Amino acid sequence: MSRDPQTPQGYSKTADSPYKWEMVVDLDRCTGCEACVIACHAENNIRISGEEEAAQGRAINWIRIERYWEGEYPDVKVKFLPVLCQHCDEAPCEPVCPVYASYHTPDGLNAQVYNRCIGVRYCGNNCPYVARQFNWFDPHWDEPLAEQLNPDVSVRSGGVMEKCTFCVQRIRTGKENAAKEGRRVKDGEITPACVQSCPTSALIFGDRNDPKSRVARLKKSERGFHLLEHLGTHPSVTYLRRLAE
Amino acid sequence: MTSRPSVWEDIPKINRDLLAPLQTTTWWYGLWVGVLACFVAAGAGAWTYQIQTGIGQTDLHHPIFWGSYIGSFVFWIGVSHSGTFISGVLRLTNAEWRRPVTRLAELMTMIAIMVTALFIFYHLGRVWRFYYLIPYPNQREIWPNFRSPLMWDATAIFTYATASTIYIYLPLIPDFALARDRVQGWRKTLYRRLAIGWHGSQAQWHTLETAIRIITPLIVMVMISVHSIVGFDFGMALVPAWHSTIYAPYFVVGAVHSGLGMVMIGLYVLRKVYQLHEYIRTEHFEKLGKLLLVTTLLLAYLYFSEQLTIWYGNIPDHLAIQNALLYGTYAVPVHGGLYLCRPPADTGLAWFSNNGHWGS
Amino acid sequence: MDLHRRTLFKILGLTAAGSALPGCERDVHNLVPYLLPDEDIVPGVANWYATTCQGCEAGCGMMVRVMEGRAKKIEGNPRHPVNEGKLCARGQAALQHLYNPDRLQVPLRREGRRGEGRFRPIPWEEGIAEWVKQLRMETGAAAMIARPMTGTLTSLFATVLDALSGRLLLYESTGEQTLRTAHLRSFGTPVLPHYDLAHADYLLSFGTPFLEHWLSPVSFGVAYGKFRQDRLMVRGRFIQVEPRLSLTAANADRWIPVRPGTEGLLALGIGHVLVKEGLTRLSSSQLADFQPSFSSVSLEHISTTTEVSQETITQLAHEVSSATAPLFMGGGPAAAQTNGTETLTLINALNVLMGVIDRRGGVQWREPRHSPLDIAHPDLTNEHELMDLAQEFEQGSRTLLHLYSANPRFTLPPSLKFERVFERAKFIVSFSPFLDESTMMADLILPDHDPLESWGDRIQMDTLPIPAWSLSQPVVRPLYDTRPIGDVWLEAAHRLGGSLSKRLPWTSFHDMLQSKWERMIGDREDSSPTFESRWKEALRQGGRWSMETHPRQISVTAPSKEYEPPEFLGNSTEYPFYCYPYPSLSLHDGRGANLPWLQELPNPLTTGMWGSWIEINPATAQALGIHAGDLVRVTSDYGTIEAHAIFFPGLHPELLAIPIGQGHQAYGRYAKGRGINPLTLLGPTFDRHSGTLASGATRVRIERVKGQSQLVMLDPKNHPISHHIQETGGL
Ligand SMILES: Nc1nc2c(c(=O)[nH]1)N[C@H]1C(S)=C(S)[C@@H](COP(=O)(O)OP(=O)(O)OC[C@H]3O[C@@H](n4cnc5c(=O)[nH]c(N)nc54)[C@H](O)[C@@H]3O)O[C@H]1N2
Ligand code: SF4
Ligand code: SF4
Ligand code: SF4
Ligand code: SF4
Ligand code: SF4
Repeated sequence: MSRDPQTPQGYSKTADSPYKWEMVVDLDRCTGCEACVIACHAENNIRISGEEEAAQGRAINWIRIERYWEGEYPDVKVKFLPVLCQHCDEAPCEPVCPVYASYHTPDGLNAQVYNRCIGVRYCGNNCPYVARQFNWFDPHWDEPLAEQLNPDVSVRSGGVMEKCTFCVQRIRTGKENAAKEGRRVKDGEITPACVQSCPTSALIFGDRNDPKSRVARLKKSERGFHLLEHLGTHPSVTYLRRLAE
Repeated sequence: MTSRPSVWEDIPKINRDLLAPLQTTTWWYGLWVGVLACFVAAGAGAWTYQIQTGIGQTDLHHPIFWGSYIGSFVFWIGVSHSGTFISGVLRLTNAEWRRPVTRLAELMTMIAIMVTALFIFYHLGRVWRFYYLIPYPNQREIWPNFRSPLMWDATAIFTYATASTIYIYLPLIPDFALARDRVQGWRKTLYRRLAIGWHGSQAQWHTLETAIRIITPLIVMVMISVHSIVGFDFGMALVPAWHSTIYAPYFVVGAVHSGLGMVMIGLYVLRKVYQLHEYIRTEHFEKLGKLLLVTTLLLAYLYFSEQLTIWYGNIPDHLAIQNALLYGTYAVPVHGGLYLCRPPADTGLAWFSNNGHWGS
Repeated sequence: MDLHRRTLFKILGLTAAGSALPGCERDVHNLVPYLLPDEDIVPGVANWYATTCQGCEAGCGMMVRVMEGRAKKIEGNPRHPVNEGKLCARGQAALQHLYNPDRLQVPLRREGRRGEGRFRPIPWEEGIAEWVKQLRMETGAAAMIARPMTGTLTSLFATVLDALSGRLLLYESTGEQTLRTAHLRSFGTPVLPHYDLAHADYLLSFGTPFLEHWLSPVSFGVAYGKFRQDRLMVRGRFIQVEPRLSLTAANADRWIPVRPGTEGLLALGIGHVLVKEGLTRLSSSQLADFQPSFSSVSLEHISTTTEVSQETITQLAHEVSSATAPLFMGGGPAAAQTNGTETLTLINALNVLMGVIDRRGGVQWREPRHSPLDIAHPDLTNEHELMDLAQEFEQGSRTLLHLYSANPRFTLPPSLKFERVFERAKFIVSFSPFLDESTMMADLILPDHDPLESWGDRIQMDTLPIPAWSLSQPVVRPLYDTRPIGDVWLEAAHRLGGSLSKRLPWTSFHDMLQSKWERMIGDREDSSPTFESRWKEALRQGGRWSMETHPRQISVTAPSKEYEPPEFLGNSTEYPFYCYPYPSLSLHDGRGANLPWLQELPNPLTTGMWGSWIEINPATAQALGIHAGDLVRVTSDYGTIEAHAIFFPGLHPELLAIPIGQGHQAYGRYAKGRGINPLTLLGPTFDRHSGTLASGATRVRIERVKGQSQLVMLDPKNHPISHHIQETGGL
C-alpha cells in the first residue's frame, strides 16, 4: 500500500488510471429546487420508501438538499447545501468494510459492490457525511412503476448498503466510448444525472487530472472548501461558498 | 488459605455429591429443558421472520445502524470473559479459594461465547452471505478485508472460542475419567473418548499441569485482547463519541465486571438448586464481592473519564452527543440507569456479599 | 501486498462492472425521430426521443430515453430554447405518470349515483356513441374545461365546440391571469414578455416564485445560474419582496418582508424616490406621463403601511439607479390580492421608468416575422368566468360538461360553489387519465393516452427569448386500451357530420398535426427539400424555433393615479391572521400528488413530505402557546382545516402559509386521503381587474387542538453532521 495518506492530490497520484472524477458544487448557484434529487432517483433505481418507512427515517436519498436557517424574523436567511457521497480519497467507509463491498476504484471513486455487501452497516456508521443509505427491506414498486427502472443499474435488495456512485454506469459508458475512439474522455462528455438536470448548473462534474476541465479550474476558486475538511477524508466534492451581501 | 483443607476421606463423598446429577435425572430437569427449548424455538422463529422479511424488523434506522444487537453482543462477550478472568487470573495468582468457582465460570465462558457468535449472524443484513467473512481460498478470489475491525472481531471471537474450549477441556480430563467410571451405555463411550485414556498416573498429572500452566497466561492475554478488539469496533469508527481511545480498557473492565455479576448469580442458583452449600460457601461470595467492588470502582472511574475526555476535547459533534446523554433526550436513562444505579447498586451488592448475606 | 491489492482491484472491478451493466450502448444520445418498429429495437441499446413536457405551462423540451420499448429516463432537451437541457423535478417525474398504477385503462360508464365512484368498463364504440348522442341532444349546451394549452389540439377543440356553440375554458389556478391583465394595461398586450434575467445585474422581485412554479421555472433557473455566476466580474444582485420567505426568496441576497397586499405600494414608493431624485431613465416627455402617478404619495405613509423603513425604500431606489441593467418582476403572492393587477402595473411601471423595455437584461417581447398559421392560442380563463359558467349550468343554458386534465373540484375553493356544475350537469364526460375528484363525478370516462404516448404540439409565445413551436410524439407504445383525445374528437366530429366533418377532414390526430405543420415548416428557412425530411428533423429536435423574429409592438401606459389598497374577507379581530396557500414546489396545484417520487421529495424549506402542514412564525406561535408539531386548526368564514404546525422563521408574524397540493379525496393510492387542502379556507374574492381568485385575501384564525399530528420530515438537524458543517464547514 504505497498510498501516502497525506498526499493532498489524492488517490490518482499513484493509481494506474488516467482519470480522477470529481464534482464541484457552486452554492452561489444552487437554489434548492431538488431537480437533482428526482434525477438521481430516476437514474439509479432508488426505491420508493413510502410514508411509513420515511417516518422511520428510512427514506433513501443519494443526494439530499440540507437547509440551514439563520437568524430571526425579519433578518432570516436560508442556506441550501446539496450533500451526496463525497467520494473521499481517504474514505473512512472503506477500511471498515469486512468484505470489500466499499472500495476505491483507480479513478478515485468510492464504489459500492452490492453483490458483495453482507449488510454489517459498519460503513454507514463511519461515513461522517451520512451519505450511506441502507435497504432495511426489499424494495417494492407497485406495478407497472417498475417498468421505468434503468437496466444499467442493479436494483438493491434488502440488507444492502447503497449510496451515490457518481453515476458510475455513465462514467463507464463514457470511458468505453472514448476508448473505442482511442482518446481520453472529453470535459463535459460525462454528466451524472443530477448534474445533467440541475437547472442552474450548480453541479459540475469532470476529470480533475485534466487541467483544462471545468472541475479542475473551479476547484481552485477562492470560494472553494470541503465539508468536514478537518477529518482528513480528502473529499472529491469541492463546494464553492455562496456569496453573501 | 482460608478454604477447608481437603481430606482424603472426603473424596468419595465429594464425588458422590457432585456427580449426583449425572446419575439421577429428575422430572423438573426435563421440564426445565422443555421450557428452555420453547425459548430457543421462539428465538429461532423470530430470526427466521427477520431473515424472510428484512433486517428492518429490528426497528433500527439511519443513522443508528447497530443498536440493540451490538449492545447484546458486547454484553455477552463481556459475560464470557469473566470465566477466564476468574479461573485464569486467580489461577495465576494462586488464589486457591477459586476452585469451586472456576468450573462454573469456565462453563459460562463457553456458553456466552457461543451466544456472542450468534449475534454476528443476527446482525447481518444478508446473513445468507455470511461466508464472505470467512478467509478461505474461494472461487470469488476475494479475501475478507483484514483492515476492518469487524474482521479482527470475528477472528478474535473464534480464537477465543477455540482457546476457551481447550482451556476448559484440559482440567476437565480427570473429571471425564471419573464420570467414565460411573456411567453406563453410550455415555460411557462418550466419556471414555473425552477422557482420552486418563488413569491418573503421576506422569499424566504432571503433563496436564504443565499444559494448564502454559495455557493459562495465554488465555488471559487472549481475553484481554479480544475485548480490546471489540472496543476497537467502536473506537475505530468515526461516529461521534465512539471515536475514542478509552474503549479497550473500558470494555475489558466492563466485561469482567458484568461477568463477575453473572457468575455470582449463577453460583447462587447452583448452590440453591443442587444444595451445594458445602462447596459453594459464603466465603466465595465475599471474595467475589471484593473483586466486584474493585471493578465497580474502576468502571466508575472509566465512566467519568469517558465524559471528561469528550468535554475536554470540545469537538462540536461529540459534545452534541454528550449533551444528549447527560442533559438531553437520554438524560433520564443514563443518569437513572447507569450512573445512579450502577456504581452504587454494585457497591451495595459487593457490600452485601461481603457481609455474608449470601449465606443460608 | 501490493501485487495482491492490484489483482484484488481487478477482480473487484469486474464484479462492479457486472453489478452495473453498461450494456452495449454506443451513443449516449442516439436520437431518433419516431417510435421504432419492433424489429428495429436492439436490446440493450437506448434510443432518445425529443418531446415536450406537459407538467406545466412552461412546456420544456424533453428527451426520453427508451430501451426495449420502455421509457427509462427523462432529461431536458439541450437544444430547446425554454430549458436548454435542464428539467425540473416534476418534469422528470412524468415517467411515474406514464407508469402510474392508478391510470385509467379502459373507457368507463358510471354505475350507481353520480360521484359514488362505481364504474363499469365499456367498449370504445359504446363510449363514443353515447357521447355523440349526448352532443346531438344537448346542442349549444356543451362546455369543456381543460388544462391550459395551445396548438393543434386546442384548434380541434375550438373548432368542434364552435360548431356546437359550446364553450372552451382553459383553466389553471397558477395561470397568471393577473399578470396578463396587468401587461394589457401597461403595455397593450396580454402576451407575457421575456424577462432577461441572465443579463440583468439587479433583480427586484415582488413575490415572483420564479425558481418554483412561476411562468417557466426551469428557464428562470437556467437564467438565474447565469445571472449569478456566468459573467466575469459581474454577479447579479437579487432582492425579493414578499411576506413569506419562499424558496425563491431563500436565494435572494436580501429578503424584504412586507405586509400582505402592500407590494404595489412599495413599488410606488421606490418609483417615487426615482422620480423625485431624477434617477429615471426616461426622456422628459415620457416622464411627464408617469410623474403624476408617482409624485403625490407620502413615503411615510408607505413605510408604515408596508412595514418597510423609509431608509430601505430610498436605499432600494438608489441601488436600482446604480445598476446597469435593473429588472423588476411581480407575481405570486403580490398578485394574489384584490389589488393584484394594480400591484403588477406599478411594478411594470418601474421597468418603464428604468428604461429596460426591449433592452438586454430587461423586458422583451419578440414575435416571429412570419406569423405561424391558424393554430389556436386562446386566452386562459379565470375563477370569475368559471363562476359565470356555474351560473349557466344552474340556469340550464349549459348541460353538458367535458373535462380534460382539469380538476376544478380540487383546484377551486368550495366557496365558489362550483359544485353546482357537477350537480346540475345533465351529462359529464371526462377524458382525464386519472380518477381525480372531478372525473369521479363523470358519467362517461374516455381516458386519453399519457402524454408520452401521444402526438401533440405547443405554440409558445410567452416568456421566451424567441417563440418556439414544440412537438410531442409518442415515445412508447400505449400501455392500455386508452385513445388519444384528438382521435376521439375527430371521430366524434365525423359522426356529427355536416360542415364540421368537412372542416376536419383528417382521420387521425397525427394527420391533422402533420398537415398543420406542413404549412408551418414549409418555408424557406429550411434547406431540406421535402416536407418528410423537414418533419423528421423537427421531430428529432423537438420542434422548431430557429425563426426570424422582430420586437412586438407595445404601447406603454402609465399606472392609474389612484392607488388601490387591498381588501380582505373577514374582520381582523375575529380573524387576526392573513393566510396564503401557496402552490407546492413538487405537487404544484395538486396534480403531482399521485406520483410517489414527488410525494417523497422533501420540501426544501420545511423538509416535510407525504403530508400537509401549516407554517407559523415562531414568535407568534409562542404567544399563542403553540408548539412546533402541535395539531392546529385554521378557521375562516368559509372553512376549517387541521394540520401539523411548523415553525417557519421566514414568515410575517400575522401570516399563516399552507402548501397546496394535498388533501385529495380521490386521485389514486398515493394522493387519496393524505393531508389537507387549504383552498377550503378561501372565500369568493377576486382581483378587481382580472377576475382571478385573490387567494391571499381571506383572513383566518388559528388555535391549538387536541390530538395527534404526524408529519414525516427529513431533517438533517437530527444528525451531528449539521453541527459539524455549521461550525466548521464555513458555508
Ligand atoms: N441478454 C441476454 N443476457 C443473458 C443471456 C441471454 O441469452 N441474453 N444468457 C445468460 C446466460 S445463460 C449466461 S451463461 C450468461 C453468460 O454471461 P457471461 O458470463 O458474461 O458470458 P460471455 O459474455 O459469453 O463471457 C464473459 C467474458 O468472458 C471472456 N472470456 C472468454 N474466454 C475467457 C477465458 O478463458 N478467461 C477469461 N478470464 N475470460 C474469458 C469473454 O471475452 C467475455 O468478455 O449470460 C446470461 N445473460
Ligand atoms: S438541481 Fe441544482 S439548483 Fe436544484 S437543488 Fe440540486 S444542485 Fe441545487
Ligand atoms: S462520503 Fe461517506 S460514503 Fe462517500 S466516500 Fe466518504 S465516507 Fe464513504
Ligand atoms: S454494509 Fe455492506 S458495504 Fe457496508 S460495511 Fe457492511 S458489508 Fe461493507
Ligand atoms: S452523481 Fe449520480 S448517483 Fe450521485 S447523486 Fe448525482 S445522480 Fe445520484
Ligand atoms: S417547468 Fe418543469 S413541469 Fe414545467 S414544463 Fe418545464 S419541466 Fe415540465
